[in-house]
Amino acid sequence: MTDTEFEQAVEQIRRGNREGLRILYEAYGDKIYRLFLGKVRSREDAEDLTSDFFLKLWEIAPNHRSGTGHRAWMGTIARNMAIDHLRHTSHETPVEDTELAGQETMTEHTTAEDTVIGKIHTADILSSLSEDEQEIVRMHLAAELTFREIASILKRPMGTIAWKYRNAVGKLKRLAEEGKLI
Amino acid sequence: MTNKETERLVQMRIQQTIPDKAALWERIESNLPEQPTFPEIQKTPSRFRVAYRVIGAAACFLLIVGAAGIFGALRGTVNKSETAVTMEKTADAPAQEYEDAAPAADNYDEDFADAAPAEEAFPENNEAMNGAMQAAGKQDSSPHYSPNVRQEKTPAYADAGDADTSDILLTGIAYGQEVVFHANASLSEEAERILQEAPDSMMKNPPMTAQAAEKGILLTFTMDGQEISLTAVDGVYQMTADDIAYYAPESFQEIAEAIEENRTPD
Repeated sequence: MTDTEFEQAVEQIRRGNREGLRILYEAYGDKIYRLFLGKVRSREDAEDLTSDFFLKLWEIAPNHRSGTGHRAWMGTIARNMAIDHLRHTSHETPVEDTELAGQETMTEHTTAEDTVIGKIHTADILSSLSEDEQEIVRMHLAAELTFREIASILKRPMGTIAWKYRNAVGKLKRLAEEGKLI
Repeated sequence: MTNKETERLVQMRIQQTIPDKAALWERIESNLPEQPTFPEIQKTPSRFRVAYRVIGAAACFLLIVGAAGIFGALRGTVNKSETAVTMEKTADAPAQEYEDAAPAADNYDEDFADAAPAEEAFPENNEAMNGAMQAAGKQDSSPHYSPNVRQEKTPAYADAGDADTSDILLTGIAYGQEVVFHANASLSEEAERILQEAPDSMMKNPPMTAQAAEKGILLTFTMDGQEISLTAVDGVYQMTADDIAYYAPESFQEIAEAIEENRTPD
């Protein structure tokens, strides 16, 4: 979704038209959900947070300043909501069912790469990365954010983000090749 | 396996964890309020607000200073113009006009009561003039210059020695003091008229006198529309030859010529 399309959807929201929010949900609902899922590691919590996110977007989208990058703006909001959620539930042990749950539907989307390295368990692969690397990989691959947008969200230099991401991919590659995570 | 293949693999696995979007949208929509509330945007103060204020204050200060400078310059120009007009008027106007022009004459006695004696102020000048007269060999019958200070208006010229009022050639203000020139010779009718009219006209014209003092002019007054000046050159009072010829008795002529030629009279 371009910035112009986003502004048009926001204009609809400003007029009280729910269609504007639905357009945003269609474009970003799954990405936001994956961001939450990567953070809270609970499908239920991720769905709750996704719901809360779009309810919040209904309220604050008209305040977005045009031309400031709506994807990074939304990513920052989602990340802050996830952090708040984790703070409130810090006494609870996170249920790491997300990646396992993700495996339930993977059979429909099997590709050539899956055939070659089909036994790689995504949850295991990602859990072998550091927290920073996991977050960057999820933002880039799950939410399809650019390095620049990730750098804006995490408030770090873009070079650092790119370097960490490359390191993470290198680790994943070695683990897969060594078959340690099969 | 390349990095790109690894990326694609991981991305595919992650993106397979999709929610039930339709159900989730229904859930969202059911919780939506009718209208967004649009919370007020709080304008965060600019981090440069202090700099803006400092720059603004400096600009105001410079504006005030600039305005004051311009005003001062304009005021100075106006004053100069007014002075020029005054000088022009006083130079052209007849003596009678000066009598009505300023009340300076009313303060005549008070103004000059504190003045220093001219004998003390200009002893060498007096001697120079008398020496010139002696050199001319006409001390007894020739005019006698004696710068003096008038202490009282009446009786006139109390400090003029043994000279009576008919001996006075000119009187006026020089450097804030009234100076009296004496002449023992008989005066022409024109010179007598000058003696009667010139002093008052001079004293009633402070701007002109002040201007004369600045320029080294000892006495300045207007007679019949013509400005007449007695000048002080290198501390020696002298009259221009034309001025003396205009109103002085014939006995002055030789002295005047000698002064003009910068030589000792024969």
